Amino acid sequence: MKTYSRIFVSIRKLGAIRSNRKFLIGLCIIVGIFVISGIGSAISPYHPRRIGDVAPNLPPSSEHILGTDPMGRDILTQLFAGTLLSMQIGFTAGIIAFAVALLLAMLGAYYGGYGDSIINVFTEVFITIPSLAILILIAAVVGRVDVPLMSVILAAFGWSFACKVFRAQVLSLKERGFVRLAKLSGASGIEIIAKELVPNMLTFLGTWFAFIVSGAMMAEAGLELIGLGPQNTVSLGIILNWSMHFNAFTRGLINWWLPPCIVLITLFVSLFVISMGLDEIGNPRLRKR
Amino acid sequence: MYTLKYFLRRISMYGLTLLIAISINFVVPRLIPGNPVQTKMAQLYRQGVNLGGKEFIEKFSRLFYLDQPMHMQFINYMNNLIHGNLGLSITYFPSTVEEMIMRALPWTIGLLATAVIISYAGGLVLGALMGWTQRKERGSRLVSGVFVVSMFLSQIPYYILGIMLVYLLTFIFVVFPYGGGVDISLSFGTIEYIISIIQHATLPALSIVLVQVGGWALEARGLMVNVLGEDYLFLAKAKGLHDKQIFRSYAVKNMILPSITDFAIYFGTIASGSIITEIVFSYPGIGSLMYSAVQQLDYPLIQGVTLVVIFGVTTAALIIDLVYPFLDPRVGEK
Repeated sequence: MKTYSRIFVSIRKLGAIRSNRKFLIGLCIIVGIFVISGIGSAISPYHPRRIGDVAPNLPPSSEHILGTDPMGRDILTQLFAGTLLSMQIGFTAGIIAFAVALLLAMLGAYYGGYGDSIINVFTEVFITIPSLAILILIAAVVGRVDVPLMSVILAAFGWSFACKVFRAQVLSLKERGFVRLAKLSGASGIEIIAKELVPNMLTFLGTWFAFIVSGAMMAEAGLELIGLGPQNTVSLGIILNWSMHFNAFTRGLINWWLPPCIVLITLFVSLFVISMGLDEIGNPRLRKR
Repeated sequence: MYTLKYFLRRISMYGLTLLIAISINFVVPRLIPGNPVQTKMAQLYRQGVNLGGKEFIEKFSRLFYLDQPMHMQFINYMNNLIHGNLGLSITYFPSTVEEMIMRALPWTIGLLATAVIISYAGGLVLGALMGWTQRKERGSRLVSGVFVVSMFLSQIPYYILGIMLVYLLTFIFVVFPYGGGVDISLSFGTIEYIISIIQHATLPALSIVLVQVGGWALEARGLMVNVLGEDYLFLAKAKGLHDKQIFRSYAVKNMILPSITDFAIYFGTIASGSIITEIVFSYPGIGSLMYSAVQQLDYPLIQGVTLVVIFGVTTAALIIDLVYPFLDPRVGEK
């Protein structure tokens, strides 16, 4: 009976996912950007970072679709490589932060007790602390940040808000009939978390995953924009930092600074649309029109 | 009024937050190998600046207690903090870190306060209207249009919107001046001076407002929907009150209160965002100060600024938490 109802619910949700236009559009755009950047990076004959790779300051042409920058690099190649790295860092940080938030929320809220109080206090503390100030401090002091470290640092300050929301959700689900029933029928805590709580929170978790990735990418691009990103790589924020450094505004190099801005905005809006779509799937009442 | 328990809980959370933040602030710069002062001196020396060699390093190391064991360093660090002593800036020697921060702080507070108040008020009205008009079958097109646009704007980081605004309104159409907080050729206190301040602040404030309105509007809509389910609205309607009257004196009044607590939660995010906004606009506030400190590896200054930002944000949250129960007596008693 229990299993049936669960399978039924997941089939219905699957259908809802397939028919939810917002979710699909958002997902397609994200995957599309990723695939195009991957293919573009692979087939581009130019190097994204090598100074003097091509002639500097060329306007857009058929050979260099977005032109070249003042240091002699093909801007489109730069953009492809930058998009890939930005997404890589954002999603890595997002996955780590999401896992931490989920683990702490589940363990804390489900088991309760002193552990929960401690987790709760730490969550509150990390929500209040302005993370970017500390991120800047860490990035500045460490100096040579590499890509994995950057992801971990971003994750360390990206989990708190989601953890608070997950915790509230678990606390309310925990008192529902089906969880009590599972408990009475002798299921262990881990089993209940994995089989009852998580499946019932799937769309909710998905929504928050999109938020966390978006937040991590915003912080990432911000840090890189002010020159605190990983060295010897190229990402969207780093391109923006270079273009600011070379006064791209005053020199009218709109083909240099605008594309990374557009890609970033597209990524953020797509993630937002995905979260909106998932929210609709999870709360059918929102699905009016 | 609130119970002693609520008060103690808030205060101890505040203390703990500050302690953790200060500890991070203390530990992180000491994680890197070597003496940070020496590293900085070496960097300056390569640039041709000689501040006095060994003696200076020793003096500085003593100032930061770098020659003492870790726990003594921490005690001295805390002691200095309690006395408001943040140390000396390396780049702007002989200025102290406090002086540098005091010079930048009014700009940041002025900019942030204005931007936050405008976006809060705007978002509240927009969200309230959205929730209110949606209760009927056909909501207002204009309201939902503005709402959707503001929702999408809220997903764009401040700095990207800032970059685009700067390009559009200072380079393409020269409407606003770029960089700085005021035209320094004007004398202090004149009307032109004040106008110049406003002109310089408009764009950075606008980029913050445009991004924030959506977030507040979303919160406000949720609160409004909650209020709409309350019995007193039903009663007001049964009494035969006008829709407008119900909206103004019943619905909005009751949703303003809970929205204030959101300030406590979002203050950190707002402050974080404005740091980079200031840098993009080269606005002379705390964010730009931090940026120049990072560029110059001025550790005492970086630490000082971080600390001030953390202190400001947590204190603001604490004040809201402590004042709020007076506005809404239901809160503190639980």
